[in-house]
Amino acid sequence: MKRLKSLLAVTSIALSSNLFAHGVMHETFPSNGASMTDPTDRIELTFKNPTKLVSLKLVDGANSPMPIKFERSQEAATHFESMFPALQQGTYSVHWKAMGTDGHMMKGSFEFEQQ
Amino acid sequence: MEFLVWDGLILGTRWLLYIGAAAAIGGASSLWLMQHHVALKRTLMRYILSATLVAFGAAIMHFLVRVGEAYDEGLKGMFDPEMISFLWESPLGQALSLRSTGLLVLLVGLLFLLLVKSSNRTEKIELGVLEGFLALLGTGLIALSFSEAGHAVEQPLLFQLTLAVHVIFTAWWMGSLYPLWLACHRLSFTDAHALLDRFGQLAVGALILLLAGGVYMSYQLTGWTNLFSSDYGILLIVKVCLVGVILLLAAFHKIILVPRLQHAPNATVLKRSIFLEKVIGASIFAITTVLTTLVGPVH
Repeated sequence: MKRLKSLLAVTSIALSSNLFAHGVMHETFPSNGASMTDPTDRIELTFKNPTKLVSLKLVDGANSPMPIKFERSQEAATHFESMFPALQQGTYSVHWKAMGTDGHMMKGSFEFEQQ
Repeated sequence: MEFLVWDGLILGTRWLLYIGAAAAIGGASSLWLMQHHVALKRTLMRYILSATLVAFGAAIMHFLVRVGEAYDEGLKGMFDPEMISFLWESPLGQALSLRSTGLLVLLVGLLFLLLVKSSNRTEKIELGVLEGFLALLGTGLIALSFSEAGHAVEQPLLFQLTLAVHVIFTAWWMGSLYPLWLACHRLSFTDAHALLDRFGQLAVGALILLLAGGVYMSYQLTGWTNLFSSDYGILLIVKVCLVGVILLLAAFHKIILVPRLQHAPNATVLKRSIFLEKVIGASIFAITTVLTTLVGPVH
């Protein structure tokens, strides 16, 4: 069981590094590690290939979810945008999950700071 | 940690699906190969029936686990109606509907044989055109379902057909191992020898197709580049090594152990060796689950 767990751990790490190697994400707004001086009121995701966005979560520094507008759609697209009321000062993380046209699930996250 | 649990469940259900589908397809073809042996009839039918049910359950569980992974709110997320309908309309849902239809067709064929045509347990199996057609149709649908989702989706039609043929012959080989073991166990050495010899002759053609298909598909997916520097490449190499081992074992059976049955009537070594072949086959299936679901080819 221990061996299985470590095998799975290695595979998962391999998977997450693969996602970055593949570079499924073209760009995000805010970009990863950005320090925003203007009030942030939206998230934008631009993928390299058409995908279906399955979930999008925005959490604050205490890991509490922030209310954002997100509706899952069957339409595959490369660009997604979600609006919300301007953020207070603090650090935030965005967690996304998307499905490629072949049914593979991809996930990723990025962080930014609101000054 | 939660990520690991989902990955484990995805791999585990897919592994069961491979084993169940292989046993169902291999079992159905063994019913044809062994139709003159009444002593095997009931056990073979039970084998196919339970394999079909395992494959059916595993296919549904695999889909629900994918739903749960997508929903990401613990195990209860597996039953979220909105996410179920979202994934049902995706390639994952198409694969599930095609493979469950295939399994149902196979099941109908088997039940027709079991309940209508051949209900007397002492009679030998009379395989007719209808059951044969249903078995082939079911097998074809199950095999094609593996091109509905995953790396095959963006590949040309030739690749998808090659994958279907690859799935059919792998299933035939692996799923025949238990019936062959059973033949060694229950039949006279002369009958067992005749069956294993016939299987060995058929297997040569199947193996050539399997290897040629494997070479073509791996080239299409990876271009044979980055094999030692990517996880996909390394796992593929491990798979090829295990395939090498199972081929050596199969050749050892065909050339040494099966002919020996005629002269030295003792099947213990052969039975043990077939069991080993099953274990290696199950490991190849396990590696294939990782290759098809968790990691992707890097060009």
